[in-house]
Amino acid sequence: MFEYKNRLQYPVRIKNPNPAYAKIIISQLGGPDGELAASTRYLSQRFTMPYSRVVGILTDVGVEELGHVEMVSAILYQLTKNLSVEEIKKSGFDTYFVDHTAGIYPVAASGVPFRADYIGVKGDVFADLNEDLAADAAMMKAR
Amino acid sequence: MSVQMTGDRYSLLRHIAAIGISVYDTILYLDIHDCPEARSYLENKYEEYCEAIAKYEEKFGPINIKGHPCEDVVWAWQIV
Repeated sequence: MFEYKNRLQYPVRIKNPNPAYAKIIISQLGGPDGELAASTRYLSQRFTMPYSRVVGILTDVGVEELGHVEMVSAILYQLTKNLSVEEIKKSGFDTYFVDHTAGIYPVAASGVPFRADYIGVKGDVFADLNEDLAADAAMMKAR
Repeated sequence: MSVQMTGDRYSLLRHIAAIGISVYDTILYLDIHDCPEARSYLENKYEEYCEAIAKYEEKFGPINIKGHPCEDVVWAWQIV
């Protein structure tokens, strides 16, 4: 089960909204190498791991990534607050806004919504841990 | 709804974040290393973490949300 602490893992404090940045950063939320993919991957894989320590690690890391989902979402929320129509149009944020307004929708910067096929869950310890290595490497490269 | 983050609030949250990283990274370390020193470190750090949270909550309200919070709770992402 999960408990919630009403604080971000690290405070997010954005003084000046910037929808142009939000258009790019949103990939860190709903993109193939984003935090939602990471948390879903680890929290799903843990059920069929044959070693208790590995279940523990995947659970801990998966929950950590959920904290990252929240932080990235907070960044996006603060980047897109109180936008004028002109700001929305000028930044190119209009194509997102028309479908989601300033809602935090898990999508990649390309506009492709989050998909389960971003993650691999095979129920096999070697396949799943190799998937984790590859995914983490890709994520580090994206950053 | 937004609440401006004061310097005091920000520094308390940063302090909690810093100790929190130590606590959770030590937990991850102990997932695969049987290390008495690390366990002892974790116990001390966790106590420090709880104290930091208590200090924050005394000034700014609860961090641990259980059940249905009251209407005027400020959510973490609304603190700018």
